[in-house]
Amino acid sequence: MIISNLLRIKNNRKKGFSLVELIISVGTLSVAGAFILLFFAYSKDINTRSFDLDNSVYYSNYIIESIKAEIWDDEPTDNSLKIESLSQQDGIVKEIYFNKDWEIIETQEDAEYIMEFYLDNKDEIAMGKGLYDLRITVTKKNPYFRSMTVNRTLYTVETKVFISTEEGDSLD
Amino acid sequence: MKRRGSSSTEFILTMLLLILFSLATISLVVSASGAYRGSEETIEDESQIRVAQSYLYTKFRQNMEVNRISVESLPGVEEKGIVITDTVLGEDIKTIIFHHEGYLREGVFLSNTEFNPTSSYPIASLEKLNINMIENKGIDFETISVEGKSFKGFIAFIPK
Repeated sequence: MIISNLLRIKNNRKKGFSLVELIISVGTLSVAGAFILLFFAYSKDINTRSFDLDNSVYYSNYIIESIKAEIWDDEPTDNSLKIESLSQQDGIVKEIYFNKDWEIIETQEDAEYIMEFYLDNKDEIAMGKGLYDLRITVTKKNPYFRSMTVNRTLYTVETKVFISTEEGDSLD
Repeated sequence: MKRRGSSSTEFILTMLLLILFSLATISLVVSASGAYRGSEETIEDESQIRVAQSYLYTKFRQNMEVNRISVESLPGVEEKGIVITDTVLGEDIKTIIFHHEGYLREGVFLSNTEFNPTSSYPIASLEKLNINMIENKGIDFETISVEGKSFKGFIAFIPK
């Protein structure tokens, strides 16, 4: 008797999905989909950050090496690091601006990345060269994905460089 | 008397919702796979250019002396290559780094043997390698990836 009642109840149930079931499924799928797409967005963001760090390191290396070789007229310094009187400089000596694709641009307004140079003369002269503390800092103007930090420091490097102080060279 | 079973309107509505559900699922799968593929390609591309840049920096740092390193035109290769001369177990050898058929390649040759681009092995996949030697100062180089991303590098010669 009980079994036959249970079978009748089972047979009376409507077959297929109800509207509520369907809405719940679509809702669940949407939430899962949003998380999946968010995962890709985070992955892309991490990739962008590592590419930015790479570029910061390589450009900083480029500057340090070109100072060592006293090449002032090459990119990215492009002759503009030829400082007239380093001993009188305080704070930021120079800024180089890059756009989103890490191409050098002229103005700060359109810049996404800013590379700042600080030079401090240690007044030690050897073989016609002065010893300087050089610090390079790379900052990103706009925040990364789902971040609020503006002007984030991407990379900082400090080193000592010998720069020629003889007449006719890059310094007074 | 109430009719039992679904009306055709209910059936159509259910089918529409099912179609909507299927389309949403398909579009999610397609966009997710597209995003994954794109992301994977970009990561691979950047990884290749990183390998190339890192390899070049290491090679240059190990051999950055005016007399040991030169930039030369190579037979059978469009772009100029880097030639590093060295002596190993009394034999003069040349390590030649060059870009050929989409790859940054390295070949090691005895100094009296002729250069052959096929006798080399690939280091990293690259679209282009620009090298410019600045006399007695250093080597300026740029690696360009397949997707067009580029890294610039400069290495100064070690002063004597």
